[in-house]
Amino acid sequence: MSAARTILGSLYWVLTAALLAACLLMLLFYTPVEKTMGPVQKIFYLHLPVAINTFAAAFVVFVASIGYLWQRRMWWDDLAAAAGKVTVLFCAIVLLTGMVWGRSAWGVWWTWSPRLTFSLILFLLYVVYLMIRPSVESPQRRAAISAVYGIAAFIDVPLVYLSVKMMPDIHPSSIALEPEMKLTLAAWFIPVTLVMVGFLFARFRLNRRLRELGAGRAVPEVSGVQAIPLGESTP
Amino acid sequence: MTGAMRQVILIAAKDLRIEARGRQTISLVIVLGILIVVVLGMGLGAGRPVSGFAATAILWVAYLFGGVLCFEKTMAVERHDDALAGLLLAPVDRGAIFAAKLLTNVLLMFSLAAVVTPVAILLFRFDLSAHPLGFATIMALGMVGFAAVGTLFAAAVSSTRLEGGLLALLVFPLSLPVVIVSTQMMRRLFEQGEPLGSTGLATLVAFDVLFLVVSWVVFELVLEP
Amino acid sequence: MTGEGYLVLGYIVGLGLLLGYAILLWLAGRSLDKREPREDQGPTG
Repeated sequence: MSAARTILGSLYWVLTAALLAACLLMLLFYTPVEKTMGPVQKIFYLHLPVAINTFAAAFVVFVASIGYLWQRRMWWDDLAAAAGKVTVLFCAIVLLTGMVWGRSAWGVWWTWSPRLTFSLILFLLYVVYLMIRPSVESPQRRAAISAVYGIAAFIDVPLVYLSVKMMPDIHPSSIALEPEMKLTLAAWFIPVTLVMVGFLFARFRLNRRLRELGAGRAVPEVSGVQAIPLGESTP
Repeated sequence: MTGAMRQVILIAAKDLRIEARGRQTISLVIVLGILIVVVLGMGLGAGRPVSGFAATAILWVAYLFGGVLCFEKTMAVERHDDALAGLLLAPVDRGAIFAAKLLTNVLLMFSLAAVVTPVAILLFRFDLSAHPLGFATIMALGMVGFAAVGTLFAAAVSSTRLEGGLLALLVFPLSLPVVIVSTQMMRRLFEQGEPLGSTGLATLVAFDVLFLVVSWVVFELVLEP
Repeated sequence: MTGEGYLVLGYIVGLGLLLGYAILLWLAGRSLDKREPREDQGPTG
């Protein structure tokens, strides 16, 4: 069982790495250079799939948070925590590749353009999600508070989008893509999505195992923590 | 319906009566707000006229920090002597508790704004005379949404002993759309002389409605003695 | 820096972060593998 799982996991990652390498070769030798923006436009093929997968991971946080509040099963919380980490990682990549692109296109690392601001706020929202988790001691309280925040953060995203659209924009609103470019973009979606799902699953399994380890070791500790709020509120 | 309204008013009146007798929260929050405005004023070089755009940003910093203190205090009232356990045992709808806390928080924030805004206008020579009603509408709409988010998370963290920085950490990023929309609307209103745009107002109203509904639905799930 | 330079920088940063996280996950999994047998023998009875 465990051995089969390991082999399956290794196969998954080898396949993902091979696809990623193939996409890189495609980018180097097949994809044409965009005329007005030059070679730096090719960041786009990493930037956009990662951005879409950031939303996908944030959506997993949202669904798992609802799942926890609905069923109160701890594995929903483990899934939400895993998805939160992946969201932050992917959003950091969106932000950094966007900044490199902006530096090349406009000569500055940062401008308060709507899209950069949008990804910065998205990043902050989910960094906070990760920050609050360890600061709540009781596992049940932590899961409940994080779930409420996970739902609120996802609902906030469209509002952030609407609000940043009111800011002055210098971003290209749309790029006319040639067929070869569209194909490259579509190809890049595959390994990036595989990486996202793989990270999500690996982190989720890790969280499950950590929870089992913690529960096996510290049963009296956990019940002690739960008793604190009741005992303390009557000084 | 009328029974629920009565419950809301009773709980809110109780909180406001406690506040009126002690005046702990409101005096603290107002002094904090004035301090923030003064510190920002020194940083920005007071004396020069400041545009409506900067005015909104300065005021929002004061409102945000003051608001978080209000939310904490209105929930902390229930933690003394297990008052929350009593409130939860009473035949009161949890939604009514949320509505009452929200009402108290909004009223506290409005009184904060009623003092801090004139002080800031005096200190900075803000010129809001062009569209005073537009300014009030934008700020009031923003505060209601901010208070909804704040009331929900104040209840969520109230039993964790960590509220201090934690509540601000939770509430600030979620409230950024409100800050962005109101500053952008003020820029259009005061610098470009455009009327109140429907996009901005719609975004603010959407923020208020969404978070009022979500907070109301989720509130009872996080309320624990 | 030229456009090519920024392009390479962008991909190094993006793929580097992905690789870094993959290594972190792998290391965390491995350290758990080492810890687990010992925990099983721990004070359970």
